[in-house]
Amino acid sequence: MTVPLLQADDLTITIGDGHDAVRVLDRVSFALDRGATLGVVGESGCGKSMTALAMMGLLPTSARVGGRLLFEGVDLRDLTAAEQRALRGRRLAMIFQEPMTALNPVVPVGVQIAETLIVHERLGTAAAQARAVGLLDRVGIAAPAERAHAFPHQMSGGMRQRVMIAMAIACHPALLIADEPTTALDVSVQAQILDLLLELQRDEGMAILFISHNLGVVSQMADEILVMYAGRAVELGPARDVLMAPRHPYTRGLIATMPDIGHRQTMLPVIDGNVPDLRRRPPGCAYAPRCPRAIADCTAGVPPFHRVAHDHDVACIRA
Amino acid sequence: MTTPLLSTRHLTVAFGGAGGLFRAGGTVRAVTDVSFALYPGEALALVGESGSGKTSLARAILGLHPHSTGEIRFRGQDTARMTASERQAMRRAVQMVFQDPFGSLDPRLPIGAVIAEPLRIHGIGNRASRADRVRELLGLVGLPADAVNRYPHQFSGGQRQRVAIARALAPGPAAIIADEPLSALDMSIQSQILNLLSDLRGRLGVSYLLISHDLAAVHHLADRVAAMYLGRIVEVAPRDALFAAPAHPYSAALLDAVPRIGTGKRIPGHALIGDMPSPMAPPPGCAFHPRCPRALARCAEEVPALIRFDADREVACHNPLVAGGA
Repeated sequence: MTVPLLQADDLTITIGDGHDAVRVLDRVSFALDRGATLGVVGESGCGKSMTALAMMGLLPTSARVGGRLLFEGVDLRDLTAAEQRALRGRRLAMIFQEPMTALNPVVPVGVQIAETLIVHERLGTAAAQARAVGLLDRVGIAAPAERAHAFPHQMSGGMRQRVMIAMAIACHPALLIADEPTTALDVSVQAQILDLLLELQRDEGMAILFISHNLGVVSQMADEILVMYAGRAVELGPARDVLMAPRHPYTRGLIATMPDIGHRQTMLPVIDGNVPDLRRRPPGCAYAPRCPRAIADCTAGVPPFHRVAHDHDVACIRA
Repeated sequence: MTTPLLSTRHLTVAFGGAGGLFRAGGTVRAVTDVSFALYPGEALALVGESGSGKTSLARAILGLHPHSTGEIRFRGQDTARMTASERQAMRRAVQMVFQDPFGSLDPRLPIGAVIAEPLRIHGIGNRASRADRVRELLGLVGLPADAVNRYPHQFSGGQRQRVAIARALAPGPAAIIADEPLSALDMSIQSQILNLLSDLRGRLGVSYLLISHDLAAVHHLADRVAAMYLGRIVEVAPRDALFAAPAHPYSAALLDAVPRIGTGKRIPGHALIGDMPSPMAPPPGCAFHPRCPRALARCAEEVPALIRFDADREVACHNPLVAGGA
């Protein structure tokens, strides 16, 4: 059996100590193969971004990580600081929701991309700048040689996200983590960025961990989908099965609440209530208080993941 | 024929002009020659990308852009000729809900005071009757009565948006202008707010002008949709007609960009190319022609007028997608 590119086993993240400790991620397991896309979907506070930050070593210092997080078979937590730095930005790269906060506002974008190449590939300044222009061209920025001198504020949101992508792919990463990469963009620009990511994936063979709150966007990108709720995985399976034959009531609820164009309903189906506060996570299944199918047993214990179909796992005792 | 609640004729909103400390004079037009009407009880959606002028149009209607030209009418009356008290009555009748329920509620005011504020400003009722009205409004938007003494930070985004809606409803408006009311909310909360807006319209008969960049978000609520591009309305159509067969290539591109589930993984190559041009240097002719897959030579030369296309649709395009019936 081949080793997956990325594998999380019972990944748990706790932030804070003692009374204030909050378990933001609770025993989450998944695997991602080379060149494939895993879509991670859920609402605010579900833990999807925490998973990404753990991989990039960007968790707050008060965070404690349990379980295993293997990249190319090696636990990221066993690496020394120097080994981690060599990996991140090179084999593992990340793009964020708001490129304006990730880019340096006082450095031209071409220089920022070149820096990555100077650090990781030990290129000279001239060679790095030439590569930076090539990368801007690669991500679809017109007149790349001139645009390399532009500052982030002189670009549109879509162009800034293209710059972030250029920086991320500079060293041909094996895995690109995309955390809400199109949430701040117009739908038309979102479509352009999604196309770009798919083209780069096809040409570079990189895997993508695609994180979004928008099920529609995830469904356009993912081979497999992981649905998260209140820090736990609730459903994991091939995209088609999760979307067309969802088994967890939360996944079903999310799909039902999406506006269905061309089919007018007087009232949209809703999920009642709000996302729970992780400091006061409901006992047993965290979704039980909002779940239309909940029974007394749902609050007795956290439902374990179990297989309902080929490669399709669900954490629900009623699925 | 019914008199529109709100309407504009040849409305143009320009910024700049006099020249500033660091800038030579020169104007940027955010809205160009826009004529539209919102009828009583109707929900009209204004959709377009950022920079299309939809928010500037809404602000002009509210009188927040004094340098606009053209006409804005409220119940048939030209707002430029209103007396102070007529203008005050219009302000009471047209309320606004913003995108960010975190930024639009005063964090130091308890919810009861937030909702009562427009009543105080417009001098409606006394202390006791305002307290009754606040309780009634909380019930209308589905918030518990004990929310009165709590502060905005004690509520989730969806609950805060309910507070913002209650505040907008307080003075009994005829119309609510909602600028991206859903885009800051979680998915499961968006449908709750959509249902609330739909329910309130049924109960109170209030009209909505809904502003959004996302066609999917307005689909549930809108009766008619107006698509805007670089300051101009390019298509106005009944919702079902527009979703079934958009006539303007830009409306078609917006509709195509809506991520849908069940269509499988996307195949690259169908996205609209490029960015919206800068309003400081609009392209000649139809502003959409540099991105338009159906552009003709004429499109680069002549601005297409918004003209009647079929029974209830208007389109500004030299080469529309579906043949006109009228």
